[in-house]
Amino acid sequence: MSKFDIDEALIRKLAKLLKETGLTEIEFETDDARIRVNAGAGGAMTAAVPAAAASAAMPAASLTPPPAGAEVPAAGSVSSPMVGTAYLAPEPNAAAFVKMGDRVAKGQTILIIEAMKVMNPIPAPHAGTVTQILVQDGQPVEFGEPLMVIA
Amino acid sequence: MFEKILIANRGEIALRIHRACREMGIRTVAVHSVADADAMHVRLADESVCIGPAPSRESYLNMPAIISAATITGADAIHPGIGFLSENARFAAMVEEHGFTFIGPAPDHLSLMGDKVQAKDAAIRFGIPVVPGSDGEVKDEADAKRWAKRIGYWS
Repeated sequence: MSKFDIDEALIRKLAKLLKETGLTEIEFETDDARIRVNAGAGGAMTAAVPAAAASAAMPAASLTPPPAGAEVPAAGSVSSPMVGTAYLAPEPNAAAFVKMGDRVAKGQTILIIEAMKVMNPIPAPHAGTVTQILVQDGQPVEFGEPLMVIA
Repeated sequence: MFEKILIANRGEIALRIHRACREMGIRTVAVHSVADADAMHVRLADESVCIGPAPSRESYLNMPAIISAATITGADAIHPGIGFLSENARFAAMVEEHGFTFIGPAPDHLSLMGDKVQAKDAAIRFGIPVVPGSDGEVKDEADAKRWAKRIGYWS
């Protein structure tokens, strides 16, 4: 069990994000720590929960720990329509469908999600510029998980 | 012995399976709809996968999503709990075809016993005593009265 240091800067950052986005709660989890910032009725409230603290109950581990510096999905975020494995290129070692800064047309394939051995091309829901790629090649994704941001 | 079980259910049922797994040292994967992201069965499980939107038809009854969730989390077995897909022979067969263990009756037993009329027929065929009643579906009111009379329920 690792010691959990309170990262004030991180909490401030999350609280700021919360205010800016108007969300009510942000939960941020790494391998050994989980921070939940919750905007209660009386304003922003922060709570730091040391994960793995209780011996009996293990914390629910999210399938994919958010990458460092992950931000709350902005407008134009494309979320996964299914559970599966995301692939950024049509085949191993091939060039990726899209890269950061690319302009994409509506309907253009931006990545593939493999589910039950079926490759499902995921089309861009709208035209725009790829500003964020939130998944890595071969990463498992769940339903509704943000994949990319096309602004 | 399984190392990791995916629990294809929610609520109290999922929690009971989770508790049994914890006792046996088996890791658990919870699946959930968008609406249940904060549910207890999700919070307590070792891993969780969101498998679809709020309607159960698109989440807890979504067979491909559940199989995919088992694949990406590397589960060995799927426990369907009760209700939902627990008596679905097609699901049980699909689970086995994808190399997971279905924790429950074999697919052909499910298809034999899942439907009550068929189950009773099978029991009669094997000479197993069954409670008195119609030899199949009761078609209309007259049919119902006739059977009720024969059983002695109504005269």
